Amino acid sequence: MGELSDQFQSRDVSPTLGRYAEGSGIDELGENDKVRRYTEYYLETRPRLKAYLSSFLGANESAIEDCIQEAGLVVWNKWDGEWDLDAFQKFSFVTGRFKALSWLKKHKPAKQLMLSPTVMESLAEKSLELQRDERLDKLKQCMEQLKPEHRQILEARYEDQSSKAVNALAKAMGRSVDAVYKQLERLRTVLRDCVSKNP
Amino acid sequence: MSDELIENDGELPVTAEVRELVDKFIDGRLSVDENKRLENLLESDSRALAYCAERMRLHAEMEAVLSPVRVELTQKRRMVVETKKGESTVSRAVSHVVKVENPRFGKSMELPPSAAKSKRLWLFGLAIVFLGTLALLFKLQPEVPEAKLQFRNASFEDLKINGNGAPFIYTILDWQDYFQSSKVRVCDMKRASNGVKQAYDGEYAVLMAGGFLTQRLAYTDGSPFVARQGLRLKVSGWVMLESAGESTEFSVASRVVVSAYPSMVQVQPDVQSVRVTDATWQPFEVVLMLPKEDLMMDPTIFQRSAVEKQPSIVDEVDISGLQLAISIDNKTKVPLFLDQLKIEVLDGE
Repeated sequence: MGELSDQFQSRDVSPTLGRYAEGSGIDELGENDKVRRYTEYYLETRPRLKAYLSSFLGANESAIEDCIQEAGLVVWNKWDGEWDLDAFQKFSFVTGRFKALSWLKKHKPAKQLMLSPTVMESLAEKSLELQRDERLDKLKQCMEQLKPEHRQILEARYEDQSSKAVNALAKAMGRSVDAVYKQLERLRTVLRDCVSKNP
Repeated sequence: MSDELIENDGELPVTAEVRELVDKFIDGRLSVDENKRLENLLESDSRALAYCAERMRLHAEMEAVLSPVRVELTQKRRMVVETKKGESTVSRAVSHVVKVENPRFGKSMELPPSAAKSKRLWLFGLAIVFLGTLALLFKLQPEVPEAKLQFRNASFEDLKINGNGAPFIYTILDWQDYFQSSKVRVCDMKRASNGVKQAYDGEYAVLMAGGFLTQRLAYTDGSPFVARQGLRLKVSGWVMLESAGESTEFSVASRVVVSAYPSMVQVQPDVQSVRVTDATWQPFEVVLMLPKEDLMMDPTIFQRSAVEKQPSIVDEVDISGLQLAISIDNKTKVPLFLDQLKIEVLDGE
């Protein structure tokens, strides 16, 4: 490992390092300290940023992904490598918000299926109030405890083209699509409780 | 639908209706009426709002676990083969491109961004100006560092010299805009001097036995640094003679290249001289200024034809808004080393 990487290792820059270091190949990002730190911060920021942008864009995950990536590029161009994770995230949220509002202005989705601007802003602000904590590992462990058929529902929703996959799964299970989504709702609650109870 | 309150550990209770509507919102399954109902609930009930925010967070985390993004590193190696005076050298530079991709949507971004994306981002940069206002509105006030002006390859370390070949290379990344000169080269100081001399910073320094270095100025985000009225730039660095004895001078100039082809037309708003007296590293510093009023200036023309060297054939040029360059020129041909160059804007930003 190069000198820069050694310096990076000795610096306590991100709690995600532990998550990605073990066998993840994050070290392969090489000696470019800036790229490596950016990638760490970006991966750490993604879930919170996605939740934040959902306030504006609802379930339009493709638009959310566009905004996350476009915001990521703006952050890259502005970032001089000296920001800590908090500053990185704050700028990501501000940029992401701008991207989301631009997307809405450009694409003009049906208003009756969108939240009002006031509610969007309140929801986004509330999502920012949530503490940044390390829940992904716990969530993963909780998911591993689920029955295979329950995990199958999660995988259909999150791993594949969600609506088609959930519809196909409902058909294969001989259940209605609504029933599968209801099960998904219960599973989310189970997982949320599991994460809360295992600090 | 039951209106039974459901307790969540450590959370305020929410109704089954809220739970159902929020999950439908997340999954994109709300009808128009349900959307209106959820909107009303979120507007009037702070518990519902908090629940919805928490649920969206959980949804995003579940996606992060089940559908993680893919990070791909591409290493680009730049090999430079030079043949000068019968000697060939091979040098290398390595750069990284990181591709962050969400396989679910087949969407990806590259870091650093590709040239096309960079151009779009540069245009978008204008819009970024508004982000400060947005940040204030949103009670977020991150300290956003400004893009800085600095020399690229300031210590000449960017291109690694082949350890088995000659201890120098004529390719000087970022310092040879429009030309390459055999009178200027980057030296591996220890190898070139058999351990007698060292670079001021790193392993390499540039050796100028005549010739010049030129770099077009750009901010750290890649945007060009342009000429403007009243601009004052401080250029500094370290310099030393190759061998003790004859002292010498070199010049540092601000320049604007108006055109490179078919005629090399340049404007040189300011030039300062630096005297070098020692064969040990000494600091230098010059201040270059642009006029406070008019930036209409006479060009200097460099061409092969003596006839075409006459400046009178080209009218005055307004250099406002044109990219500035810094040129370091050793006309005396007394060999000298330069290292760790810096540039700073004093006024006119």
